[in-house]
Amino acid sequence: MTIARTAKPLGPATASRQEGVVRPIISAVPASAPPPRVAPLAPVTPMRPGAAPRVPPSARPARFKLRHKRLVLSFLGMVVAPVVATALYLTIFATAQYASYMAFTVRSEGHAAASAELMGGFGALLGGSPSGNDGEILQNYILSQEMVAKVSARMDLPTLFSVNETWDPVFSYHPGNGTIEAMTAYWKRMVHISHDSKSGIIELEITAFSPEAAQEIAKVVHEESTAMINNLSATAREDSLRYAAADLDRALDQVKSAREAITEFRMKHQIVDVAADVQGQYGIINGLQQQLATALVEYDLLRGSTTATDPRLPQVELRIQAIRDRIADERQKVGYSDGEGSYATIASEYERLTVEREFAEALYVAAMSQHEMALTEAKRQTRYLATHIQPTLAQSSEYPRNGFILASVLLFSFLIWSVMGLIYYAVRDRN
Amino acid sequence: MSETNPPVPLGRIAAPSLKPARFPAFRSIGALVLREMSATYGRNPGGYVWAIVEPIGSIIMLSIGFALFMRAPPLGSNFVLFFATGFLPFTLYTSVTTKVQLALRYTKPLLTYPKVVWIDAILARLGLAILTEMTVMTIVITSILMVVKEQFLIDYVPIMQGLSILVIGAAGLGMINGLIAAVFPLWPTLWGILNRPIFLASGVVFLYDSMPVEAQAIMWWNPILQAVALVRSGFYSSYHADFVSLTYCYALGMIVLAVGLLVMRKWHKIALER
Repeated sequence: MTIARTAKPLGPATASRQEGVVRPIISAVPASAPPPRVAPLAPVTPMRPGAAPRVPPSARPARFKLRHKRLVLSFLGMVVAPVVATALYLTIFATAQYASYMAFTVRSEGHAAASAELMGGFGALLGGSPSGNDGEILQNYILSQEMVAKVSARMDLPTLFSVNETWDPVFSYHPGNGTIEAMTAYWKRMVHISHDSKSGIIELEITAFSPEAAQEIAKVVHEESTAMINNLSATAREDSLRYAAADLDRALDQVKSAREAITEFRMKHQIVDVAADVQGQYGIINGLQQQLATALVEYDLLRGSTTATDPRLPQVELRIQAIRDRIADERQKVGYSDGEGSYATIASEYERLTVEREFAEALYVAAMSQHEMALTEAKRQTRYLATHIQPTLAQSSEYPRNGFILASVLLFSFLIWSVMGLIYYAVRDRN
Repeated sequence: MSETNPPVPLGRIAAPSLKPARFPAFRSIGALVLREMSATYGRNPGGYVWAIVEPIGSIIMLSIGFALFMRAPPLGSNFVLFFATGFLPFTLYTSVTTKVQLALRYTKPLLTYPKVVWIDAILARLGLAILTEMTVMTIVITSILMVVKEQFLIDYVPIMQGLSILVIGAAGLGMINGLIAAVFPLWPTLWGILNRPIFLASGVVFLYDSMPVEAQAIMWWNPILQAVALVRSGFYSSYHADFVSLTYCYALGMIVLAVGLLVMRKWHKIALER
């Protein structure tokens, strides 16, 4: 830039004096050309014809200078060499890679989308939680070390990925020490996953060095993903069912123990139904009281019709006494006094046990319905993998994408070279 | 041109001790950085510390404001962290652009010295802007992480990628804008108007993933949005910025940078003469 600027004012001046001689050179006066001092000297020359010209040599045609050489060399080294090397590598060494595609969504029977629907529009834009949470889980899982370990357990990944290790070191896997970390890093190069959080579709592209291998890996990945999703929903179902089942078991135990307590009570007191038993007792007392009344009437009649020494009187008195004693005895039994075997205590005990049993039975019924509800809920929340594109079998190689790689190398090496060259020249322009 | 110096005997006799500086570029850049630092907040008490305190204050105020009307951040549970991871890369872009844009205007008087060239002015302001912004970013994010007391799996690779894209593109854009502004003085105002919606369109508050599909198709071409998403994906391990194309971002950034350097080289005199 500075070159052109210093040269320009010089151009027309000299050109007018030295007709056409310098012209072709002017536009390329090098930076080290003598400054405008040439101008005063120039008119002197034509005055002394024949004499050796004392003019400083006019600007030589622009030559290749060291820095130009450096520029070209750096261009060759930083742009041409990488592009040529890439092109050569891609055409000679790189082996074809084949891709297998598949796509699926994670579905559940439930209405999980309802909450997302509620806050659509701006609400979703502001604080919308990403739906398709399961998709994210699956996406994470497919790229994880665990997936690599599971696929490795079923097929020989290191061998599949290092078929061309000697010829194609850039694109193939180096078993080397064969750590799972290295395999996972390489796995991420060969497995490309895209997850659309709106529709929940997960698209998977798996590359390998043969179409069959790619498809096989894709199938295994699909199976393992299905297993993982099933596992996930089984865990969820177990979680929700476990509490319901535990409640049901406890209720059942209570019912059992309540019934056992009642049976034990019946065995102990030899009573099946306390109410009926009490009624029977009252029947006896009633009967006795009737007999007592009859005896009393008989006694009154006898006393009125006979003398005091009649031997029948003490007999009737004895009978009345016996009936009274019996009534007192029976009454005591039913519970008009306190005591161990009294009917009142037995009845209250029986009532307590009955209430306990009824409560346990009600609890059991509730637990049963709870369990049933949990079962249907779990069934509704079951997730499954809905595959709409099964792993495809490639017919032609799509990778490595030669054109794209070459274009990127060309673009970036040229950009880096030009930026570095521009900065170098800008810094060099000092003084 | 240094080869013209030796034949002149004056220099050697008059000042034999004055050898040419060994790294003239670094000396002039360093001097320009110091000048810039003392000029920016030099007269205020505290000096350049304000250049760091000011963005920290603004990020706190803005995140309080957004936290008031948004229920939960689209990522993670802490609003300030979500906002900081988007806002800080964005300010890196704006600050580098404006700093580089004004570089020639602020250092114009010094560029008359032969030892100072235009690239020194740009490199000095660019370097200082990057250092300042990175300091702010480190302080803000470290203190948020210390306050939040949550565990974060921070992946530095995408963070560095995103930040480098922003710096490269912003430097080039700053140079181009600086030149256009020298020719059309109205340009910075126009650019400010054009750039007004870029804050909303850069995924600072609204994630690309939660935008409508129609908007996504347009917004994808915004490299700032992609770079911001890239930085975020480094902080939030559950956020995969799948849509980001590193090739596109770096290519665009490098092209802008190369064009910026090229036009600067060709026309910086015009900017200086005005």
